[in-house]
Amino acid sequence: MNWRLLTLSISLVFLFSCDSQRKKTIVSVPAFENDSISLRLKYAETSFVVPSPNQASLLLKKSNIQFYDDLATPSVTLEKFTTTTKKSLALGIFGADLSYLNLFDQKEVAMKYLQNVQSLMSDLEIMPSIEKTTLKKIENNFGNNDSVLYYLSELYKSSDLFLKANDRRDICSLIVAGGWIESFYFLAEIYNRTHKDEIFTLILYQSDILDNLIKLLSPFYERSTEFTVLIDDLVNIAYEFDVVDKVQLTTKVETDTEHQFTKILNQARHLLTGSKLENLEKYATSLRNKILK
Amino acid sequence: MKGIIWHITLAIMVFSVNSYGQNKSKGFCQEDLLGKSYISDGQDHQVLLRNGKAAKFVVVFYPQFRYKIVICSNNKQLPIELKLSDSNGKEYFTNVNKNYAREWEFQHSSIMNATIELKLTDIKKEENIRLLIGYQLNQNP
Repeated sequence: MNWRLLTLSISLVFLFSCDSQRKKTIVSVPAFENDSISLRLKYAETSFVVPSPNQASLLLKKSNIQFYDDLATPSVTLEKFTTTTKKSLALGIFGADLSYLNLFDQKEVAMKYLQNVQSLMSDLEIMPSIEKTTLKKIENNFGNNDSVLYYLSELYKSSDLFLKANDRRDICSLIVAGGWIESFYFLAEIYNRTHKDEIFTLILYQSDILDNLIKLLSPFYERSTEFTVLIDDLVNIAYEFDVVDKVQLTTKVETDTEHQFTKILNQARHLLTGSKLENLEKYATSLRNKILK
Repeated sequence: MKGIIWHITLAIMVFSVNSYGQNKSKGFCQEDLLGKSYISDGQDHQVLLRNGKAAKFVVVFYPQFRYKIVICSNNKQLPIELKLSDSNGKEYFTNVNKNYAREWEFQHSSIMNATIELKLTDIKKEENIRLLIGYQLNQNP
């Protein structure tokens, strides 16, 4: 669709006008770092947020799906992730795997993934001292799903904060992309095995999330061939989603001021016709395997 | 001797500044503001608000979760406008008539690609803010 090309073009203009001075030294994490924030504002005044892959794992668990031991990334040697791009994507992928394994009580297997996460964070020079503490907390809390989920989110959030403070937003975006790619693969593969309606709906929901992910990555489109290929692959998946009809039906808003809570009774309906779902599954697997193989 | 004292003094100063920075980053505007029942979305959302311009965050909300949004800044008294609208620009919530509350919880009955807009009411001011987004599985849909 033309708007996607337009989005990419606009983002590229931002990229070339603003990203000429990447900081080379690593700084400690400031609470608020003016230069970094200003740089962000120059990129755009709109930020695109992609839900945590933990949420997709929680929804899978809630749907009473059985555990599939062949779904998480097969044992791979980390040496194959030779570039920063590959390492960052793998970090996102392993995070989603960890979340899935934790929620399905696979403690022993999860430990291996945790080691992979630690190694990749070390390779990417992500805040070694604080990360080690959080990694230890995750390790010590295996068996308590909620605690692990909490510390896992903390781990990725503090990494995100650290990377952004050091103007390494490209890596942040890749980690987010890796997490989404893995959870999209989980959803597509699980639907293929179960044909559950809830999972089908979750796959259709990914259409909106993917749009946000593409916009998040697009400022880095020309940074490297790896980035270009990755974004092109994601755009191809987005094209497949274009056949999804989205209908916003009615909306009612209920606000409870005392409890500072608002409930939005919206009814968004996503409809998919034809054999496009097969294509989505094919793309999900192909993109994920391309990164891991 | 003067040299040694100078080096020790400098080392203490550097250590103090560094410790202050660490404490500040650890204890200020972090996840404890979301409360124990909410899990962070795992991302850091910081922005500098100025010139009365709105910063926008495009966020996808799943219907199966309850979300908590917290706005944090050094100046706790500064009114910050929060607005939530859908992708068509239809506004669903504003904190303007709610004493510029900095925390609010949301739940949607279907997926929503929403835009969160943050703006300072005083166009002459500027402030660094951090937006925290937390979620919890919705037990009572």
